[in-house]
Amino acid sequence: MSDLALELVDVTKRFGSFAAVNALSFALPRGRILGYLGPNGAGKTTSIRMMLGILKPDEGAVRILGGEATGQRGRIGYLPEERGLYKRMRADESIAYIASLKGVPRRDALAKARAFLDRYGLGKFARTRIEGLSKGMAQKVQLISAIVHDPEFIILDEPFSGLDPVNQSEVEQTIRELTQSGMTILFSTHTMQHAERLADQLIVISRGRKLFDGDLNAARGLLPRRARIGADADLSFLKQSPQVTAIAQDGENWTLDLKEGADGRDLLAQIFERRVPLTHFDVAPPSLHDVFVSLIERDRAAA
Amino acid sequence: MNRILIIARHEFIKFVTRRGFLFTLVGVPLWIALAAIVPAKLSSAQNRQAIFAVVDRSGAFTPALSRAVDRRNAREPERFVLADTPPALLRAAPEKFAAIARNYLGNGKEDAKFDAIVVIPKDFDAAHPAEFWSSRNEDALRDFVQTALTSALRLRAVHRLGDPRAAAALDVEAAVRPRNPSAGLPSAIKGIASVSVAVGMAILLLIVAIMNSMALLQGVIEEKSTRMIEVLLSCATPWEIVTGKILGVIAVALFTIVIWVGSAAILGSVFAGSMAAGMIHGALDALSDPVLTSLVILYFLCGLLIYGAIFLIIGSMSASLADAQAYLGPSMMIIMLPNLFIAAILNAPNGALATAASYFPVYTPYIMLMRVGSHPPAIELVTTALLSVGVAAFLVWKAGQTFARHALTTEKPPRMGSLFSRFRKSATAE
Repeated sequence: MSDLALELVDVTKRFGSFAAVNALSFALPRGRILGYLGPNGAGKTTSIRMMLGILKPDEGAVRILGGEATGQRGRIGYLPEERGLYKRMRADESIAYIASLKGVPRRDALAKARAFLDRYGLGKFARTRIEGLSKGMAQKVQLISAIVHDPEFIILDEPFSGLDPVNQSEVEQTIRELTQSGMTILFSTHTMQHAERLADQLIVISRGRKLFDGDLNAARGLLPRRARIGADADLSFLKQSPQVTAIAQDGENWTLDLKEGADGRDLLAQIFERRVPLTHFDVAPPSLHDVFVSLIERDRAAA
Repeated sequence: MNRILIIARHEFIKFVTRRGFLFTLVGVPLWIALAAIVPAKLSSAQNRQAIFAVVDRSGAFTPALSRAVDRRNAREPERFVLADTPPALLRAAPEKFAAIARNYLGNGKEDAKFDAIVVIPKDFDAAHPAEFWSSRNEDALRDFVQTALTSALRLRAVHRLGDPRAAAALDVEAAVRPRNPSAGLPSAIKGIASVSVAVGMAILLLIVAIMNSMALLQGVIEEKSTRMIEVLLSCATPWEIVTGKILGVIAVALFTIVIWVGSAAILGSVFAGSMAAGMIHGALDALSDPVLTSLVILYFLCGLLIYGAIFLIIGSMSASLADAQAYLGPSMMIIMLPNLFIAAILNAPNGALATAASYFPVYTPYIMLMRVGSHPPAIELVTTALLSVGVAAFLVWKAGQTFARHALTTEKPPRMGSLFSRFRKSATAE
């Protein structure tokens, strides 16, 4: 059995002359969570469709759970970006329908659907039509549809989209529970905090090409640490510090990019030396949001 | 195979649990029953009894009219009634006649005493016409009076020529009784039942195929708009989805027909008694012919597959119902085209037009259902059966291909022209 849940090798998909995915390669080991990031139109949905076997790559190969996606349908769970549910179906039947298509006998599928709905606090809505559920409830029903057949690999396309913070936390918790039971998860999102909190591995793509593949620390290492200082005074003298590569001011808030290895203590010493009163001082690694924006801006500038 | 059946089952339940389907299930037979009953009722209302009076100023033609009424009533009892003429009408001066006649004729209302008043002038002949007074459309009575008075004038002319015996001999009416040498024979009943069953299935095919295929089209568009299609495609191949959907439609169509035919048979035996029982017995007898039954089932299923595949192709290519409308109009016109020739085909089911129309691929099952009860040549049955199966298989395969190609697209569908050229190219390539 392959240790890789997913492997893309030089995968290209064109629509006419437009390359939606361009020589994309990466691998995801089993049991891990992959945050799949990219701006709108980056090729995330197209590549996910190739992973699911819905689209065939023009070039390259996609291997999922050691084989072709079309032969692994029952071992994969999928949550699409928008609500992929029949509005007039009842919640339990909707889940059972997908589970039965994935190979679960109908009676078992219905029993499992009701058990999952109970587990996720929707037991009393089991016989409610999808059109009668709130967006958060419907998203949970859809998530249950993706996992009810005990897949080994789950693909979640924008699982947090349109959910309030409470429901987002619940979905996050569900994803963590699923990986604890040994499932491999790939999720795409535009909210970097979710990726920061959940992902073992991050892939950033833009214009169909891979820009980054690594963990959160490696991503943060792409940008220098930053000092954020609050002061009602001119701190431009810090520009001369050998630890500083760039300085920016926004009112009383100053942001300084630090050189690799700099920890900011020398900056603090210089400020005290000049007796400048501070409202705050913070040295922290860059956020994933900053890294993502930087990667995409650089890619667009290079285009 | 299992996934195909799961999808078919899902489609079946989805369609039959819709409120619209239940309305159609009840509404269509009701509509057909009304379409049959209302014209019959209207026709019987038009054939009601017509009462008329005669103002015979010549004093010579009333007996002739009376005899004509008696003869007519011997064939169709009390259709026309010659009433006694009120003295007021007899005495009325010509300039006041209209006003007095109106009192008896009313304004076409049901409470009028007479439906018509016939005024025969003193010098009645071809040059001096009689008058037919009526406030409503009484064409049948007027024709009857005209014929009776014409005969009376001719008799009088013969009489004047000096031969009263010839005149008396001429005052007769010929009778023609319709006879059918096969009437009542079992083979004749079976023949009529065979044609009726097949034609009935053709009409049912068109109704259920269009009704359910429209629902299929809407379902595909809904799945595209909610992205349910992506979930389905992650579970099954496009071919499995298309086949499952079409099988679901066929199941709905057969269910619909079983309900309609079953309820018609039950209601017929309860309300129409022995006549309906005879018809049902005749239909069952006709269906005991294995060749006829097999062909009816084959053409019917091929027809459903063909229409289902056409609508599925339209649904796959459309991002919305508005897009689908652009294809639906021309498609419906093409599908409905054979209806222009129904009368000609039924009049001559094995004539040149019917034979030629049977070989237009999309129409083959429909036309052949119309003809199969009239015993077309065996070679035509074989070739059209093969053609139907071939066209159905091709269109289902094409539907799968179109579904796979367009199911995930939400852009505007291709133009009609480019669609035809694409279709032609792929057909040529294959």
